[in-house]
Formats: sequence, structure tokens, C-alpha cells
Amino acid sequence: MSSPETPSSDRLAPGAGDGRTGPVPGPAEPAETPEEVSRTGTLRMLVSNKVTAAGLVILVLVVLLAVLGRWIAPYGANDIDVVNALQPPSGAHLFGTDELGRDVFSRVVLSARISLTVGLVAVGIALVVGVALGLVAGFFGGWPDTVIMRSADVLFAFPILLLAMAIVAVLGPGLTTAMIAIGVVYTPIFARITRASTLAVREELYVKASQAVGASDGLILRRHVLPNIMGPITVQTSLSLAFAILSEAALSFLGLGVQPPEPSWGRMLYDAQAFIYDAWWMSVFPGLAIFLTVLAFNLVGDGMRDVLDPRQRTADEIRRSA
Amino acid sequence: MRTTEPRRPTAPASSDGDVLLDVRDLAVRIGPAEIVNGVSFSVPRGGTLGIVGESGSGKSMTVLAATGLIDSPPARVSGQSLLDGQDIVTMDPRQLRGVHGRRVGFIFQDPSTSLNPVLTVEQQLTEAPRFHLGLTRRDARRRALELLEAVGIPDPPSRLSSYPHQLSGGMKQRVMIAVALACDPELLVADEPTTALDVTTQAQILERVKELQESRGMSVIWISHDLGVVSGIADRVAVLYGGQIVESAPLEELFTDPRHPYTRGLMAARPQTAHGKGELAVIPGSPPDPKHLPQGCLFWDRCPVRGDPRCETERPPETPVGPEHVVRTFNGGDADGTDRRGGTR
Repeated sequence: MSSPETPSSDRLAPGAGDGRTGPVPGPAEPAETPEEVSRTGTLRMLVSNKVTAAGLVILVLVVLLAVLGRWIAPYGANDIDVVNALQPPSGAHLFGTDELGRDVFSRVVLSARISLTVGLVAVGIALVVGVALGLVAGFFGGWPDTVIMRSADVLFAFPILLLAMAIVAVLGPGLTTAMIAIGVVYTPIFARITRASTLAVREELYVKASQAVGASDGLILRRHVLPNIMGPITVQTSLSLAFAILSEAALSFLGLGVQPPEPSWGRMLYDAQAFIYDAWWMSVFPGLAIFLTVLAFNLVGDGMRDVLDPRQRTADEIRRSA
Repeated sequence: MRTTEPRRPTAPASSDGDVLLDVRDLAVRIGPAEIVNGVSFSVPRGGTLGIVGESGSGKSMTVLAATGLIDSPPARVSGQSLLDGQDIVTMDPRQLRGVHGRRVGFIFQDPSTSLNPVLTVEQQLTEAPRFHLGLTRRDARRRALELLEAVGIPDPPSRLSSYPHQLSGGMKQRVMIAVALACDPELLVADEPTTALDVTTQAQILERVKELQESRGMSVIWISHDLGVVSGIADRVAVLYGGQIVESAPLEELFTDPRHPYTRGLMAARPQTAHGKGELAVIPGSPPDPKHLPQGCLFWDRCPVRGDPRCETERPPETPVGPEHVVRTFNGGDADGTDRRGGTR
């Protein structure tokens, strides 16, 4: 609004505006068929990338393991069989046995549920709290913004694992505290991403337009801001799930997370330490499980980043139809 | 605050049933910048006011402040803006929400960014009727179909499920008009709604708004930098410069008898399509910096006829030069300017 320009030096001469009567379909409005853009469209584009598809396949397998683990695992997680302790992989024990003769394959399978649960709940906490705080900070600004974001900065200043350990130290070790600790640690990340995206969307004309039809702040946040920032948040959720699972493994490895006899990948690695030269299978298979799960979440997160940006998506559609 | 200046003969607006919006001495400051400086105008029920000015003249800010859509803070608004006697400037956010969309509808300049890219046309079109009028999803949908029909969109049922990026610019602006009209507002504010569109589409939109206005008895404020567009729709035109109305008159009168040197400059700067020869006239210089407004007339440094000694030291008051014609200059009340624009009148 600042560039000096000569007014009314372009376009119509007076009267030209009322020269025609009635709507004449102009050449500016080609009759395009409304293309169906739906949730399945997102999935299709996600799968069309081979790397992302591989990530999705692994994810589906892990989820299946988590849900159906009880029926897949040939042994119980704590079926002790000391006679067959530290057996290498064989037909009876696919991944071998540990120092108490427990079946490593069964324990890896049964741990999937716990690892995923910890990841989902922890990230769920971080997501809900972080997004809510980020929305308030970004949309309303002022002192709420200052208070929220400076608090986030304080949390950010600590190394993630150190902070999680401090929280566990205060609340006492265990599955629940591990979830809370990981959730708290990842909250500032979501708050920061949400705030940044909200700041951008808040200035969009359609937010102003929504105020102009009398929408309340709550409605604007819910209907206009939140859907437009879901892209980055979804991507961050996927990536955070990977790190949350890793954090859980780390906490459990340090003896601060899942407590025995509950199985967990991190805990299994902890138990395998002493036998790393004698029974490689005890550490390799749980390690592989962590590696593959984290990799899958990362691959899917990257894939989503490409697909979920609405502008990127429009460009893709145009490229495809051309 | 400046002292009250002589106003047009509108008397107390609350008793005047014909005036829908009565804006009195409206001023907007943002930090040190004086964006709007004592603007007064009124919009009659069913009438159309055109507001013309170049970029940065305060057109949008004036109307946003008058309708309570300006963000304050940072903006500080003073003066009054009476919608049926109720002052919008002093309303709290809850009262404003009852006005926006319900009694006053808005169309913005750029249709491509004023629609939410992730919502369908139906979702955006049914939003306001559902919370303002309490319509059910089904009723709101029926209303949306009628509205799309009314603004001239072919095949409304399939358009309802379209996303904004699947529509052309003209279509989007029609959807925006439908959104603005969704709750049958008494006043439609159009902030340069055709600037981003090509000339053909522009003419269609203009025509459509005129039809809708007549069928609904709505008042319209149409903002534009383009005198041609305004001449196609307004009954009355206010010319804004430096956040002041420098001239205000009925459409015909403004075109046949412009009194302010700035208005005359605008008229001369129009491209003449009928006999398109010669160079395009321009007004040399640029609008005043709202952070450092001159003490005297805001147009002084660009004015071709500054003769009066008061020009440099005093702001000219609004002077009536006809029954409904006011002008803010020391040099326009007489006939000396007529030969300035070719002498034909």
C-alpha cells in the first residue's frame, strides 16, 4: 500500500462497467470438472513414493505385531527355561534365548505393543498440550506468547534425555512416568512448530475474512488455523513418534523406564549388555526392532512432509494433469 | 483531536431513517502514522457510496475502522461510526461479531487468498449462516445453493464440493460475494473486489453486485482506485487523499463539475479510450507520508493551483459548494479551474 502510483490510470473508462447486462460466461472461467481430492488421494500420493511406501509397510507390520503379538509369539514373555538358556537362533527359538532361557523372538514381538504405546501416549501428550499452547501463543500474541515461548525455551535448553531422566527421578521410574517424561520433553517442539505456523496463517486474508463474517476466535482457530497447520504438525508427530520410541528404549536401557518383568526393547538391550560377546542375538534383534520402527516413522514422516503441503499438492496435481 | 468541522446537512443521524451508516470525524492512528484524519460520510439505506483514492490514501483503513474490522491495538480509532445509531467504534468484540457477517458483509481485494485453501466451498459458505442464523447443516446447504445461483455460478451442486484451487479467480470472487451475502446483510463493503480480475470478469461482477443490491435493498460501500469502476456502481463518490475526504459529491456532479484540484487530476489521468491519442496525464509527486503530514493542505506540494496564502499553513475545511457537494480546498470554489481540464463542461 505504499508504492506511489497514478490512480485510475488503468482499466475501464467510466461507464464501461455498465455496458453489458446479465452474466456472460467469460473466457476467464473455463468449465473445469471438480476433481475429487479426498483422504484416499493423500494416501495414494503417499504410497506412490517407493521409500515412503516401504516405511508404511514396516509400520503396518509393527502395528500388527503390537496388536496380534499375543497370538504370534510362540512363548510367553517370561517363560523361563534355564536349561535352554543362551541358545543361538534355531528352529525352536527363531531369535535364540536369553540368560534365563526366555524366547527372544517372543519378547521382541511382545515388546512392540509396549514400545508403541509409550510412543503414542507420550507423543499424544506432547501433541495436545504443545499444539494448544502454540495456538494460543501464535494467535493471540502478547504476554501469553511471551510466557509460553520463554518456558518452552527453558525446556529446550536441556538435553532431551537428561530432562526426561530428571523428570523420572522426581516421579519415580516406571511405564507411566516414562510416558509423562517423554511427553513433557517433546511438548516444546510442538508448541514452537504450531506457533510458527499459526503466525503465518494468522496473517492470511481468509482469517480476516472469517472475522468479517463474525466468527469467534475459537471457531477461527478450529476451522481455519488448525486445518492449515496440520501439515507440519503431522510430520512432526511422525518424526516425534520415532524419537519417543528411541527415548523409551534409552530410558528403559538405563533402568528408568519399563520395569521387569514387563518386556521392552530398551530393557532387553540392557539385559543383553553382559552377554554381548557370548550371545549376539540377545542385542541384535531388539536393536533391529528399534532401528526398523524408528526408520519407518522417519520415512513416513518425510513422505508426509512432501504430500501434506496444500500448495505443493496443487502443484503436483497440475503437473500430473499436464 | 481536531475541532468539529462543518458537516454535510445530515443532522442527527439516529432520527434520520434513511441513513444506514453514519461516520463522523473518524480518525485512525498507528504509532506515529496518521492514517485517517477526520473522515465523515454517510451511506443511505439502499444507496451506494464509492470511495476513490490512490494506494495509501487510507481507503481500506477508513472502511475497516468504520466497520470495526481494524486491529486495535495497534491501531487507535477515534470518532464515531453509527450503524443505525449504534456506534461500531465503541463496540466490544462480542457485539462486533453480531454485526460482522450478519449486518455488514465484506468482499476483499484478492479472492485467491480470502478463501481458505483446505475447506470446500460448502464449508466456507455455510459457516456464517450456521452460527448467525442457527441453520441446520441441511438448511445451510440449501441456502448455499441458492446463493451460488444468485451470484451466477454455473452448476452450484458440484461447485459446493470444490476446493478454492479448483476455481478460477472470477469464480472465487463470486464465492466470496456469496459468503458476504450469506446472512442477508444490510451493508456490503467491497474493498477493491475487482482489482485482481480481468476486465470482462470485472464487468460481470460489477453487474451482478448491482442486481443483488437492487433485489435485496442493500447498501454498498465500494472502494476502488479506479474512477471507471466506481462510476459503474456508485450514487455518490467520496475522493480520499492522505486520509481525508477532499471532495464528496453525487456521481454525476463529481464527473461533470469536479472542484478539487486532486479530483480534476484524477479525471485528467483517466485513459480516454474514445480518442486514445496523446500522452497519459499524471499527477506529479506522491501522496504525503502519514508519519510526517504537512501542517497545511495535504495536497499542497502536488497542487497545480496553490494560490491562496493559507494553503501552506492551514488545512482547508470542508466547504459546501452545492447542496450535496463538499470540497476541501481554498482554490476550488470558483470557476478558475474549468479551463484546466479542457474547458468542456
